[in-house]
Amino acid sequence: MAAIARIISFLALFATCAVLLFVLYWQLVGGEVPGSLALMQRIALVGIGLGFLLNVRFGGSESHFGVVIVSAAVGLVIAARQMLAYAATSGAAAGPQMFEWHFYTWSLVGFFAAILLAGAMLFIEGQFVEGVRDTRPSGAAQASGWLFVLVTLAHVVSALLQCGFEACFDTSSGYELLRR
Amino acid sequence: MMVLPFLLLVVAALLATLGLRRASIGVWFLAMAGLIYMLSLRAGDFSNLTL
Repeated sequence: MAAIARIISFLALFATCAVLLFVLYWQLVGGEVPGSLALMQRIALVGIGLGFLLNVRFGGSESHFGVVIVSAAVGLVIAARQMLAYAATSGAAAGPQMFEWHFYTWSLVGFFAAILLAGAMLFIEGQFVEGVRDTRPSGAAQASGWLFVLVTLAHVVSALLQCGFEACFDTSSGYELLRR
Repeated sequence: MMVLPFLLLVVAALLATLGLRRASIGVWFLAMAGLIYMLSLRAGDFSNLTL
């Protein structure tokens, strides 16, 4: 059962990396500059990825699932805040869509799914019997860790170009640092 | 400010990859605290709805 939990964690980590790469692609190719709430949702998504990375690297632990659940809960609140903001003001939603849903709607569903997945994985008790292992990781675990670091770093560079070290609440001006 | 939680999470991911589990979780805590603080700054601001 521990092997199943590890495979699921691997897949969840790769799914997180894929989503992070997809939104970066959409941003660069589609020219969609993310707003502050979208950036915050990306940060929460990276938090989820970190929880699964810890599972892959060290084996299953309750605290790793805590990282996933807390990150996803914060992300869910941010996505809900963005949806409610549109509903409370004009009611006219904006931003890119995919399969007739806006990105923040997908985000809300994704964060909810991450909470459900992490909660369900807590029932795989076999992974906790072995405990956390600090032995030499497998090549796949090490490679997935570096992949996650690189993808996250790409997002940091993007956010740095866009916001500098400001709060970044007004993102209408595009990439602030490139204008200087 | 917005970059700080992102940067902290990169550090946390690096620490995890290098085998420093407890330090990684500690840095993740700081990043989440920063994220929640950033959210609290925008919680009541409905004027700027840029995506």
